[in-house]
Order: sequence, then structure tokens, then C-alpha cells
Amino acid sequence: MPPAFLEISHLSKSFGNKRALDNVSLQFHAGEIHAVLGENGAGKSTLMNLIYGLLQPDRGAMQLGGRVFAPRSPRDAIRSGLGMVHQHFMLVPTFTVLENFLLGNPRFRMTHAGLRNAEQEVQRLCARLRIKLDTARRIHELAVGQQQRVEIIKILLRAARLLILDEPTAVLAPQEVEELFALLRVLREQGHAIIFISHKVEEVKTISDRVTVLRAGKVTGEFETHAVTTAEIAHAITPNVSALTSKRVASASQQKALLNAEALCARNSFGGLALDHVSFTLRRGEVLGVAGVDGNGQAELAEALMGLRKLASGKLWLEDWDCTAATTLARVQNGFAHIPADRREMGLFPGLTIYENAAIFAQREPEFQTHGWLHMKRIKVWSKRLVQAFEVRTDDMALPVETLSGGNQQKLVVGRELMRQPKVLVAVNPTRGVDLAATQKIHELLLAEKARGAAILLISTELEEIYALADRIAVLFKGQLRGPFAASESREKIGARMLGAEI
Amino acid sequence: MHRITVKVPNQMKRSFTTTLQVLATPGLAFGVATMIAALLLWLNGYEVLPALVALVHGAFGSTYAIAETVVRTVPLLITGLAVAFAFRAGVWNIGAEGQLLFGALTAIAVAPMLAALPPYLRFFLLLLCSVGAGGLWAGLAGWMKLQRQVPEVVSTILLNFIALELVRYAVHGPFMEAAQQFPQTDPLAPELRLTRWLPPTRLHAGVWLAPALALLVHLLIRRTVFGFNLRATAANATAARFAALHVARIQLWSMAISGALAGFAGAMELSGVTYRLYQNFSPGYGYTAIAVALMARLQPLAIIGTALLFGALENGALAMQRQANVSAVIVNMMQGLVVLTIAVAGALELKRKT
Repeated sequence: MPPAFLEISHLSKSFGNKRALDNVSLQFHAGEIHAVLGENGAGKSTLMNLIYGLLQPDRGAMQLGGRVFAPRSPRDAIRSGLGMVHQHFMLVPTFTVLENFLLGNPRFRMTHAGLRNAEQEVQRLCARLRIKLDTARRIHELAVGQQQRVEIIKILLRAARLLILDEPTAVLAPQEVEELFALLRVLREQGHAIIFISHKVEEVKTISDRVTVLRAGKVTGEFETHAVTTAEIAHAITPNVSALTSKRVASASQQKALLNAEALCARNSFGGLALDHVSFTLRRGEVLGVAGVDGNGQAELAEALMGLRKLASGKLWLEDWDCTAATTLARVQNGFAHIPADRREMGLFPGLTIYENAAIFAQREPEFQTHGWLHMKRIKVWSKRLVQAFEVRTDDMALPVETLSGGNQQKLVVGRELMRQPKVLVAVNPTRGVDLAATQKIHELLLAEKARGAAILLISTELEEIYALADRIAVLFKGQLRGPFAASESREKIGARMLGAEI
Repeated sequence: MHRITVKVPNQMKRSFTTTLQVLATPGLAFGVATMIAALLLWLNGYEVLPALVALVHGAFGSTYAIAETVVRTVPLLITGLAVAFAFRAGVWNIGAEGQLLFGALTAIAVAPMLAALPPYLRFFLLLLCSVGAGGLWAGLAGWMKLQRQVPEVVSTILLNFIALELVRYAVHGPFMEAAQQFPQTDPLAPELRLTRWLPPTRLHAGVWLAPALALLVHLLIRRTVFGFNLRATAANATAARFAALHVARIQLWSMAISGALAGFAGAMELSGVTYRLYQNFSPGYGYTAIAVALMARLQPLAIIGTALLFGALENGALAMQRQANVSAVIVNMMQGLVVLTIAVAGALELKRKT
């Protein structure tokens, strides 16, 4: 085997008492797609941040192309031929594709001739990669998959030889994933080294040549992809947990409708139509899955249902109650619950303790207060019960909530809603950024809620999740709801509808 | 199996160490500020040690000095609480100065109208008017934020200028003293003044009220539903909205309560110390209060300490001016330095954490 393009040896990094990375040695080769797998908190991000110069190791060293490599900043890393595709693209939405290429790239000049040169170079590169790219389009006009492609080419234009892709498929529809994989294969063929970070075993099996699994900061598995099974990889990620399986149970489809949405229309924050006559019924004891690529009205649908966004028109009924104009508080008190899309942005209160975060709904109940004074003891007892019931792992609930791992934060947010035994649960990406064990736990909880008789609207960008839980599947595209279709509908058809196909 | 245990001894230990940590940064900042101030004194040709001794002596050297330090502490403490309360709710009330002035002005305007009532009721109503006026003045900024998204930082600062001009107009015009000699009001009627505990010093009853108020604010923030909602709103307004809290209403009320506290400070100063209103009624209490609150990390009980520190600095500055002939400007600079060093220390701490 030829010498490694990037070789890291015995890297360690601690934060306080926590060993984020413990004596990790790895080799990344040119012309190879190397997947790095692991749960949240396994050390993937720390490793990438070390390679990319955002962090410096406590111990250990790196070699790039045979020379010592010790980046002090991303700028160092980029200069040495590294490039990172972040989950959130680093593009200016109102600029054109070409302008984004010029931005921060010292090789191009903002002159007429410079623009022409850049354009020529981009087209040469695209020809080599066998893709087409219209550089005059503005970023915000492009689909997410195309934006990601722009991001990759931006990095290649900076002469990157090693590409790091941080969970690149998280935001993509199935067809877009195929296109990304095709591009990655071309890049591999042309001698680039690619690090592919993921927590999805299946896609790693499809695309990678080599797999490294991290758990709790250590390498727990190194495989040649063709010589390993999915189960073996999954075992290295989390022993004792099998891969995600469908646990869908038959639902009483004859139940009467609980929630009725009639032609809901709502505008997004920029005044555009975010929901375009969305109608559906949700029955007691069923999970209605809403599939779709991120940004097609998912956030607005959840907010409209919870009274957090004004409806332009339409009607909403909970049984006999017309709650079209009801406040969020009234909805919450009458059985609505909501697992928001982003726990950090919309669910948690950083700086407040785990107790307080658990009790944000409960503290307003008469049981926990007298004339506005809180019964701290009762709140603590209650919060402890929540933490136990939903397996939130913590040693000390008086610590700020941000000390919890992502999965435990999410279980707290989910538990907070389910403790209220809601009639209607609007769950938006309930397992986003959560490890496999926590994902399974949350799925079990949702199914238990369904068995109890709750009606669940599962809005998720993960098609796997929808197929694992939903009884019927609808697709949200540009604010319009297609379907619902039976859960037996093929993935290809649902995937095509996610991209706007009318079939 | 995972554990869910609450270890009480550990918790106590932690709360002790966190208290130390909370104090460490401001303490260090204060040390650095003192050193820079010493350097300034030295550069300006003063003898450093005698000047600093004069400062400390002037603040704590005698019963009189201590009493005067406390008198200066009271308005700083109450306005410090006002600022901290708003900041804890995530609204940036920079207008404690204006709310204090408007509270005092209202007291002066209302006092003659209450002449027929029994003294205790009069005093109580006077306080109520100041508190209400301060709350209204701040509430105005809160309302503009709510209705028209006017940033409260801007509106509260501008309202400071308006309040100051109103006071200037009042003491030159409608409320000028009967003798028409100086731009000041007539003194409050004796029954509207707070008892002085230690004549000839100006130590007044507010000395007990102010720390009690700190405890009250502490309990309000930590132990009530409103305080819980307020902290949640400040921690993450979006999440608060998603948890069905009425964020706008919480912020408006926090602003009003903050202003009410500042208005109360105005009434205390008027009926406890000056008895009259004049243009320089407040030597910038409402602004120093921001430093007082920030240095205490917005903890109401810690504000008792930081207010005392700034009170001592201001009182000691006068002594330093008299005895060592040092300009009070140096002390003002030192106060500024304390705030700056705390800000820098806070930023460094944040960097260390991430």
C-alpha cells in the first residue's frame, strides 16, 4: 500500500475531565473514501476539528504527505490542501455561484479578467468531474443538493486534496444522495482523499472503501468495507444494540378523526407562501408521517399547528373544538404537544438547570405553586421522575442542561412533552443528531404514545424514520401536502415526490 | 445501570466553589484596575501610597466615613437591582438614571397635593408615585419595543436625556424654590423625610430597606413562577415562546419592574438624603448601577457587595481629593477600568470554556 496522505498518530484531546479523544491513530489514503462512524459524542467532531486546525491536540502528531502537519487554524489547514464541507453550508445565499467561488479565494481577483479566468477554471473543473454547473445562479435559488455541490467545488478550487464531509447526507433527499455519491466516486478516481463522517451504517456500506468506528474517543473498529457486514459495524458503534428496525404495530384505522386541518395557508418570515392549502386528518392512535426535504414548510406546519405562526387562511379542529385562533397556551392546555425541530434553538434553556428545563411546563400547574411561589421540592421530585422514566442519564440534575449529551437532551425534551399525556403530538425530526440507542428509545416512546391513543404527526426529513414509524405517509413539497399514501408505498415514489414529482 | 443520585455534600461543596469562582474574576479584575489606577496616579506625579490610603481611610476610616459610604451605597444598590432585574430577563434597560430622576420628579410634583392626608399615608403614597412613575418611564421603552420593535437600549438612553431635561425645566420653572434664588425645589416637608439614625451623618432608614429589597428581588427571581418564566425567557426566548410563555408580556413587565425599582431609588434619595430636587440630583447612579450589576454577575445578593464597593470608591474619592489633592477623575477612571477589566475577564472565561 502506498504511504498515507494524512497520517495521525496517538492523538489525544481532553476537555476538563472528559477524554474526547484517546490515543487515536488513523491513516487516510489518496484515492480512498474513508468513513468515520460513531454516535454523537464519540469523538468524530473533535477528531475533525483537530485535523482542520480548530483545536490543537494535547498529545500526538499528524503527518501530511510525509511532512509534519500541525495546523493552528483552519486557514493553515486550507493552505495545506484540506477542505471541509460543513453541515451548514458556508455560502452567501444572495451571491451567485461564481461570486461565492471568488469569496475568500486569494487566487481569484475581483476584476473583469479575474472573473473570466475564474469562470474558465470552474468550467474546466466541472468538465473533469463530469457535472454541469450554472455559475450565474444565486445560491438561494438552488436546491440543497446543488448548494452542497457548490460547496464541494468551492473547496476544490482552493486546491484541496483531502475533503472532509460532515454528515453530508443529513440534508439530502434519496436521489440527491445518489448524485452526491456519484460525485464522490469521481473524486476518488481522480486521487482525492475523502473523509466521510456519518452515523448511518447503510450509506457508509454503500460509499466507503474503509470504515473507522469511534466510541467514547477510542477506535473500536477498523474495517475494509467490502469485507464487513452492517451488523459488525453496528456492533462496533454500540455493542448490544441492533440496527434500526421497523417496529410499526398495526393501528386501529377505523378510529375517528381527532385533528382536522382544512386548507391551512401560512406565510414564511419573508412573506412567501410557506403552507399552501394543507389539509389532513389525524386519527387517534395513528402516526401520520410527513416526509420532505428540509425547508419545504415543515417548520411552518409545526408552528401553525401549535399556534406559533398565524394562519393566512384555513381551519383547524381538535375533535369539536375550533382551535384555528387559539393561543399556544390554550392548545397546550387542551392536549397539544410539540417536539421542536431543533432542541437547542427551540427546546432548551441553556444556563438553567436540568430540573428547571424539565419543569418548564409543570411549574405553571397549580400543583407546583401557591400564589405564584414555586414548590421547589415538588418540582425536583417531579423532574427526577421524568428523568428516570425517560432514561435521561445524569449524575446531578442541578447542573446546567447543556452538560447533557445530545441524546439525553433530546430525551428530556421528548419526556417533557409526553409527561403531559398529550392528545396530539407534533414531532419534528425527533431523533435529529441523536445516537442510535437514544433514537431507539425515542421511537419506542412514540409508539407507546400511539398505543396509548395519542395522534402523532411525525414530520421528519429522515425517510428511514418515517418508514419505521408511520402508518400513512404524506409528502410536503414547497408547502403543499401530497398524500397521504399507504405505508407500503415504495421509497422511490416517495423520494421522487420529495423532489416535486407529481406521480 | 445508570445512576440518578443527588449528593448533598457535593452540592454544598460545589455551591461554595462556584461562589468562589463567581468572586474570583471580579476580584482579579478589581486588582488589575487598582494597579492601573496606581500607575495613573504615579504617572500624574502623585504619591501613590498616601493617595490610596486616603481613599480607603475616606471610605472606612471613621464612623462618619462609613456612614457616608453606606449613604452612597443605597442608591447604587437599588438601581443596581433595577438593572440586574432587567438584564436577567434579557431586556437591556440602560435607563435606570432616567427612571430614578422621573421617580424623584414625580414625588416632588405629587407631594403638595397630598398635604391634607395623614403623614404615614402621605409618605406611602409618595413612594408609590415614585415607584409607579419609574415603572411607567421604563414601561414606555418596553411598550415601544413591543409595538414597534424599537431597541430598548436606544429608547432607554434617550429617555434618560428627556428625564434630565424635564428635571432641569422643573427646577428652573414650575417647581423652583419659593425664594427663586437657586435652580432647586423647596425641601420636602419634615414628615415626608426618612428618619436619620446617626446624626450628624446622613445615614437614613433606606439602609435597611435596600438590602431587604435585594433579598426580595433574589426570591422573586429564584422562587416564583414569574421569576422562572423571566429566566427562561432570557435563556432562550424562542424556546420560551415554544413552551407557551407570553414572552412579550414577560419582557414588558420585567422592564416595568426594573423601572419601578429605579424610581424607588429616586424616592429614597430624595426623602433620605437631599430632600430637594436639583439638576445634579443624581451623580450618574443609574449608569454606575450597570457596572454594579454586571460586576455582581447580576446576582441580587452579590449586588449588596458590589454596590458597597462602588459606594466606597465614590466616597473615598472625595477624601482622596481633599487630603491627597487627587482629582476625582482618577477615581472615575478607576471605576471605568473595573468595568473594562471585568468585561475582558468575562470574555476570557467564555473563551476558556469553549
